[in-house]
Amino acid sequence: MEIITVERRILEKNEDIAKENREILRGKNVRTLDLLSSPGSGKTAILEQTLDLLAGRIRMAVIEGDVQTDNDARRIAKHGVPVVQIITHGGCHLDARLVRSAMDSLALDDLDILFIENVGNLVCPAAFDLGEDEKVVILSVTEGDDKPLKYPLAFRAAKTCILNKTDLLPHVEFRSEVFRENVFRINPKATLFEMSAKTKEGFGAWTAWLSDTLLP
Amino acid sequence: MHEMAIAQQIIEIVKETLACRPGSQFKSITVYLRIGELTALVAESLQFAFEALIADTPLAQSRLEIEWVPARARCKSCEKEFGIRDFEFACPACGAAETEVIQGNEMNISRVEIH
Repeated sequence: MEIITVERRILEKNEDIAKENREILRGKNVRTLDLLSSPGSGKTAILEQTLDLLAGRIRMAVIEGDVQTDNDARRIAKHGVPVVQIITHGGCHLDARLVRSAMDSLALDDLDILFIENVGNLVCPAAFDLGEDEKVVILSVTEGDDKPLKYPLAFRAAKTCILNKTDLLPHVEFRSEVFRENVFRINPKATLFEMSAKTKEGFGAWTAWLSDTLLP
Repeated sequence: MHEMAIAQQIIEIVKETLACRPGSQFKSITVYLRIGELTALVAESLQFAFEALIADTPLAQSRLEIEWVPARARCKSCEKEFGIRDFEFACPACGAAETEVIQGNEMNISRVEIH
């Protein structure tokens, strides 16, 4: 028997490419957000509103990750921004290599913010660095106020958290106070936004954060 | 199920390790991993993915041995170190919420045994 000491990070290839992505994006002065959520919590709807509200002031582009279909990319394209679709063919998360290939088809010199809409999944995407500045985790009120405790990895990986579909609060048993406690229990320094992509309620704080805090 | 992607990377690293030893004969390989509790990896899923990927390859008789690394943090206020249970990151001594994880995020291959 022979023993070989290896001492390597299993995801080192992804981490190395993510580091390069980060250097490329920062070198071009592009701020990048990786949006995580379960399917149907409103990532695309939030992006659509955000693109409209910041149009003409901030130059944005979107990388769309989906298991199948380019439905989301077609929705985004209607808002007049560059969009690149990544179809993972069953893959449950985006990785840094896939993002790099999408970055290569974007004119990064002409961008201020790049949004990456990850595959709808609150587990796997949390483990993969893409080279983003921040991960943003999105939860909708129909999913339940205990989700930060059930998916701590995602809520820990993301510095910023969005609660979406607040217009439905009167119709569901979602305790906003308990949700906030759970978010801050997992991530005491989280920045939390509460909004409705349907009514646009609460978007002011979010777009102000994008234009004033995220952008230098 | 990102365990499949992780199993693929483990196999890549094992292949690279073996490629550095051309001509070495082996019946089976044991891969020792150090995995932090905070990674929330599912050992059974990882084993299953690994076995599925090595079936009918020269590595077919290989197996994984996982050493779990407990999650620990240090309080930024009182500097006490403590074990993290159930993703409770607040300091049990002084109650401060701001603490720094010092171990538990590992996802490493530590060694490869060639049999």
